[in-house]
Amino acid sequence: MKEQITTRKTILQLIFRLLFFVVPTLLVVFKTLEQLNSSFTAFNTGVLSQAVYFGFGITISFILYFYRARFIITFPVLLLVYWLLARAISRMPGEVDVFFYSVQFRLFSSLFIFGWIFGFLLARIKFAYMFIAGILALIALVSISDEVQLDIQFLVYNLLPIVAYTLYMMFIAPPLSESIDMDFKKSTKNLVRAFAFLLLVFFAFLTANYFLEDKFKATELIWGEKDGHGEPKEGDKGDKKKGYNEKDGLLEKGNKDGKGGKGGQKPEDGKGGNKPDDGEDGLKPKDTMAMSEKMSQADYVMFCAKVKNYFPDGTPKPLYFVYHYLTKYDPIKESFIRDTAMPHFDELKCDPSTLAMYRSKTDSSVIRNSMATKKMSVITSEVYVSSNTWKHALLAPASAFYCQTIPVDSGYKKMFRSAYKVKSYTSELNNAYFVYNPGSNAQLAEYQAERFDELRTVKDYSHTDTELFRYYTAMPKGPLYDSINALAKRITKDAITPIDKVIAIRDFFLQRDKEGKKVFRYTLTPGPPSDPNIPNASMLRNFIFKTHAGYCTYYAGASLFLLRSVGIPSRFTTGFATIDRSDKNKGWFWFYASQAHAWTQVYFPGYGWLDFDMTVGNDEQKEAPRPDGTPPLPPPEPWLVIDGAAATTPDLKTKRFDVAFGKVIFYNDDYRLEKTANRTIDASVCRVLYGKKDTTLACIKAGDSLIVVSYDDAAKVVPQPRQGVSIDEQLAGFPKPIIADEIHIKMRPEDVKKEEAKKKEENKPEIKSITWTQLFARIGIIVGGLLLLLFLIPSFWLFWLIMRFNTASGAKSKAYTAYRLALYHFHMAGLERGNETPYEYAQITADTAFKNDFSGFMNIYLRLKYANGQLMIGDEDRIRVFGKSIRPAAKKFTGVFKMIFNYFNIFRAQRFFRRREETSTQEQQL
Amino acid sequence: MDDQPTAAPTGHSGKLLTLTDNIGKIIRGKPLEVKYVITAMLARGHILLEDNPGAGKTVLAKTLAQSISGGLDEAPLNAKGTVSFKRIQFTPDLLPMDLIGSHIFDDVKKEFVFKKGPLFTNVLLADEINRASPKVQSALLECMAENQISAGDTTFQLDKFFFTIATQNPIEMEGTYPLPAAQLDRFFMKISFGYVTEEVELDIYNNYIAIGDVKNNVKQVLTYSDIIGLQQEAENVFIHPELVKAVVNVVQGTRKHPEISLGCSTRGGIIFLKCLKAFALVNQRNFVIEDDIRALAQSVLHHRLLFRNRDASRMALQQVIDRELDRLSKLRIAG
Repeated sequence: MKEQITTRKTILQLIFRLLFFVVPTLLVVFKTLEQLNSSFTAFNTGVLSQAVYFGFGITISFILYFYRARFIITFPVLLLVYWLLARAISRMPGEVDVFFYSVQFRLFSSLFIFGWIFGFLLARIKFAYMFIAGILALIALVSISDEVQLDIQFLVYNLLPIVAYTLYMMFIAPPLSESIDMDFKKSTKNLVRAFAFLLLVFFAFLTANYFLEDKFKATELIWGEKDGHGEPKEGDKGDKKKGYNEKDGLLEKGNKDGKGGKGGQKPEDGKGGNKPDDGEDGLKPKDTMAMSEKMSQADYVMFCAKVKNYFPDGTPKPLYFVYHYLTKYDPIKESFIRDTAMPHFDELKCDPSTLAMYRSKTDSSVIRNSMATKKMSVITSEVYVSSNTWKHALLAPASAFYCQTIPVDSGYKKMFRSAYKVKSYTSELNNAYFVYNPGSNAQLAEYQAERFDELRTVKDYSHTDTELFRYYTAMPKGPLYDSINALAKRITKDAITPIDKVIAIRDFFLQRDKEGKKVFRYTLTPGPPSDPNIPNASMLRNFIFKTHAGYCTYYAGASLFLLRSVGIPSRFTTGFATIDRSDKNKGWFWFYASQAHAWTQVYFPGYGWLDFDMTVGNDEQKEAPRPDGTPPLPPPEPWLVIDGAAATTPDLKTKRFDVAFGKVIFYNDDYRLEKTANRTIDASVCRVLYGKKDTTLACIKAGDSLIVVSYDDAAKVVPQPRQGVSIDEQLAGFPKPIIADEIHIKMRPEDVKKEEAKKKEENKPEIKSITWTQLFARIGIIVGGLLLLLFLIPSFWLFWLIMRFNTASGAKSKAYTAYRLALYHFHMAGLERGNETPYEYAQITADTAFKNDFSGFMNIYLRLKYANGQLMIGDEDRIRVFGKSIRPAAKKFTGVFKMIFNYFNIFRAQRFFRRREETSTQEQQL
Repeated sequence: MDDQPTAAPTGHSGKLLTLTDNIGKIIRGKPLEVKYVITAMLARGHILLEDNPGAGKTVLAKTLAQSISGGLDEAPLNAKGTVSFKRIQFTPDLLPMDLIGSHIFDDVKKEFVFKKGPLFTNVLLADEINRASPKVQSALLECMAENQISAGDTTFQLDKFFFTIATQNPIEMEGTYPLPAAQLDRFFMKISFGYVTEEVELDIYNNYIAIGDVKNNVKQVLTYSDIIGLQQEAENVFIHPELVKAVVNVVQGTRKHPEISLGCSTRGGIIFLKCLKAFALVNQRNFVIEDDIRALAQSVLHHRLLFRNRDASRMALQQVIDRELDRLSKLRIAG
C-alpha cells in the first residue's frame, strides 16, 4: 500500500516536472533554434523537426535520470549507438543519399545529444537552468553578432525569452513542481503565488510598453512598410501615417483622424523584413541566407529619382546610384567594410533628413578628390525617398557634391517622405549600361564602342598618385588570392590597355562552355560551400573556381580582385542598380529594394572612377512586373527663400506682416545680407507649415523664426540675378510686398524638444551597426537598473513595515506590526536570528545589544497572541514606546553607514525570509 | 529561563518560585532541568533521567521530596515531616514483590497480612531502572500508569501524589534490560543533566554538601496540599487553539518525517499538552506560549520516537519543531 503511494507520487511528480521544467526549456530552445536557423545555413532543415529531435532527447533523458539511471553508463551507451548508426549510414549504397543522410544524421543526433545532456542537467542538477540559460544566451549573442542591424527591439526579441525562462525557473517552477505531494491546498497556494508573479511581470511589461509606446510606434511604422509592396495601399499606409502624426500632437487642429495607428502590426511580424542592407558589412558572400531572404521579400519602392542626364538625342542615360564605397576587406569573413580613411575621399557626407527645407550642403573636395578632369559634367538629380530607413542616406550618382532638400508636393506626401536634389560631378563616359545591357540597342552599342575607344587612350597607371594606386590595388595574402592572381594573369594575357583587361575580365564572366551554356550564372542562393567538413570554406573560392554561381556581391568581389591582380585600381561600391523600364516618364527611375546592388568602380587617370558592373543577368528568375509609379510633380522653382524672423504678428485681415531677415537664397545661391533687412510679406495665397504640419497664419507670432519661400510663377515681377551687384542692392529690386507661397515656421523650443525626442526614437533603428561597447553599455544600464532595484528591496520592505506600524490601529495589530518590524530591523541591523524563537532571540540576543526591552515587549505580545488577548493597563503605551524605540536603538547599535550597507545586502535579507515554509506564505504576502 | 511573570500567578503557583529556588540551591546550574522535573510532577507524570553516575540525580529526587511537607494519608509523617521519599536500587535479581510488598503470615492474627513495599510513597527514586528484569519494570510501570498496585486479589490505591524519578545509565549497557518503546512512552519526559559549566562546578566544590546533609539544609517550602492544588491548577492553564494545532502538527510531523520510523503516539500528544500546561505554570504563566513547545519538545517527545539513524535522531525532531515554530512566529494575532 505504502509502496503504491510512493510510486504514484513519483509518476505524478515526474509528469509535473516534465510539465514545469522540460516544456519551458523546450520552448526557449525552440526559440533559439529558430534564431539559429535564420542565421546559419547549416541548420536549414526545418526548425520543427529539429525541435522534435531535441525534445526527444531531453524528455527521454529526463525520465531516465529522474529514475536515477547512471549517467556514466547510459551516456556512453548512447554515444555507442550513435556511432554505430553513423557507421551504418556511411555504408549505405548511393552516394548522394549517403551524403545527405550523414549530414542530416549528424545534425539531428547532435541535437538529440544536446537534448540528452540538457535533460540530465535538469533532472539532476539543481541550478541547471542557469547553465542552460547561459548557453542559450551565448548562442543568441553569437547569432546576433552576425546580424546586420541591431536595435533594442531586436535584442529584446532575442534575449527576452531567455531572461523570462531564467526568471521562471528561478521563481515559479520550483514551488510549482514541489507542491505535488497530493496536497492540493498547498498547490493552489503556489499556483496563486505563481500567478501573482506572472501578473507582476505582465504589469511590468505593460508599464514598459506604456513608456516606450512612442518608440514602438515608430518602429512599427518602419516595419509596417514591408506590407506596402511598392504600391502603397491608401488605407493601410495612410492609417499608419495618421497614427504616427497623431503622436506629434503639436496642433489640435491637424488631428482629425482617429486612432488609426493602433492597429499596427506587432514588431515581430516585420522582423527581418524592411531592413534594407546598409551596405556596410552586410553584403558579405557568406551571408547567403540573409541575402536571399531579403532579396525575395523586400520588393517595395525605396525611392525614385529623376536624373537629368540624356544622350544628345534625348534618350535617358541612367546612372547607378551610389550609397557607399566599401574599400576595406576582411579576408576571414570575406566581407567588405567601409573605410572613412580612404585616400581622396570622394563621398559627400550628408544626411538629407537633417537639412532644413531648401537648405543645401556643398563639398567641393569631392570634385577635387574624384581625380577626374576629362569629359566631366555636372548631373542634377532629384531623389524622392519613400522608405523611412533610407531617408538619412544620400543616394546619388557617383561623386555627388551638392545636396539640397526640396519639398514633396502635398499630393504625394503619402508616397514619399522626403526629397532632395543632388548634383554629381560625373564622367560622361559613366553609364549604367556598361557591360551587359547594350543588347540590340544599336545606339548603346555604338556608345559603348566609343567609350572603349576613348578609354584605350589610357595606357597604364604610371602617372597615377602612388597612394591611390597602392590603396586600390592592395590584395590580401593567401593561396586563394595567389590563385586569383594567376587566373587574372591568364585571362588578361592578350590585353594591353587597362580597358582591354577590364573587358577580358568581363568576358571571363560571360564565357560559355563547349555546349554553349553560360558558365557563370546569377543566383540569390549560392548555398553553403559544397564541402561542409571544411570549416570556414571560402565562398569566394567556391564561386570563382567551383560553382560559378552567386549574386552581385560575388561578382563585384571576384572582379575586384581580378582587376587588382592585374594592377588596375578598383573599388567595391554599393548602392542601387538603375533599370530603365519606363517609356512614359523619361529620366525617371524607380528603385525597388531588390535593386540594392554591389559593383566595381575602376579608376582611369583623367576620367576618374567609372562604374563597371560585372554581374551577369539573372536568367532563372522571371522579372516580377514592377511597375513604375507616377512620378511626383516637380516642385516649382523658388526664386527666393528668406530665412528670418517675424517682426510683427500677421494681420489676419490683410494677411500681411513684416519679416526681418539676414539670409536669403536667391536662385539657388546662398547669400548673407550685410545688414538685416525688413520686408513686408503678403501671405494671402500662402501655405503655412509648422514643422511638418499644415497650419494657419494665426499660428505665427512675432519673433517666430520663419523661412519664407516665393515661387517665380507666383510673384508678379520676378527680379533676375545680376552679375556684379551685391545682394543688398538687388534686394531693393524685390517686389513689395513679397508674395509668399510657403512659410515654414521654425519649431518653438518646447516643440523642438518633443520633436527631437521623437526623432531620437525614430533614429534608433537607424543606428545600424551599433558598436559592441554601446550594446554592452545599454545592457549594463538595464542590468544595473534591475540590480539596483533588487538591492533596494530590503529597504522597501523596511519602509513598508514602518508604514504598517504607523498606520496600525488597535493594540493587537500595533503589537503585531511592531513585532515584525523589530525582528526584521534587528536582523538587518546585524543580529541575525538563528533557530531561536523570537522570544529567545529577544531575551538572549536583542536585549543585550539594543537595550530597548524587546523581551518585555515580547511578553506583552505573546500574551496578546496566546492568552486570548489579555490586555492590561499600560500595555498599549509600552507597545508604542517599544515600536518607536526600534529604529533609534538599532541605529545606536549599528551606526548609520553600517546600517545602509546592511540594507544593501540582499543575502542578509534573504536569510531573514529563508525559513519561511510553505504554510506561512499568506502572512508574508499580506 | 528567567521570565518575568507575564500574568499574575494565582493560587499556589507563587510558591513554585520558592520551590525552584529551593532546589536550585542544591542542584546548581541546572535551572531548566529542575523545571522539567517539577513540570513532570505537576503534570502528574513521571520522569526518566538518563545520565552518567554522579550527575546529581539522587540529590535532586531527595531535595524535591524534602522540600514538600505533609505526606501519605495512612502513613505517619516521617521525622522531618516531609512527604515520604523512597529509593529503590534496581538490580537484575530484584523481584516485583520487593517493590510492591508481599503477604506475610502474622503469627498473632494467624493470617496473611500485606506488608507494603517501597512503592507506597510520594516520591520514588527508581535508580538504574534498566538493570531490573522486565517483570519488575512492568510492575513499576503499572503503578506509574494507573496509580494503583495489584497484589494477589487486592488492589491498593497509591497516594494521589505519586511521582517517580527513574534513572538510567547511558554507559554500561551490559546485563541490562533496556526499556521497550511502550514503556518509555509512559514517562512524560526523559532528560539528561549533562555536565555543569566550569564556574558552576567550582561553586559546587566550594559549597559541597554531602548527600546525607541534604535534609538538614533543605527547607520545606511547599505542603502536600499545595502540590495537589498546583496539579489541579496546571490542568486549567489556558492553551490557545493555534498551539493545540501546533501540537497536532508536530505529532503528525513526526509520523510523516521520512527519517523517523516510529512517530509519536496519541498518548504522547496528550502528555505533551499536559506538560506544556504544567511548564507554563512553572514559568508563572497561566497560558502556554510557543516557546514552551520549543523548550519541551525534545524532552517530552524524543524518547517516544524511533529514528532511522543517528543523524536523524539529532536532526529530525528539530526540523519538525522548527518548521512549526516558524509558522507560529509568523502568525497574525487574531482579532
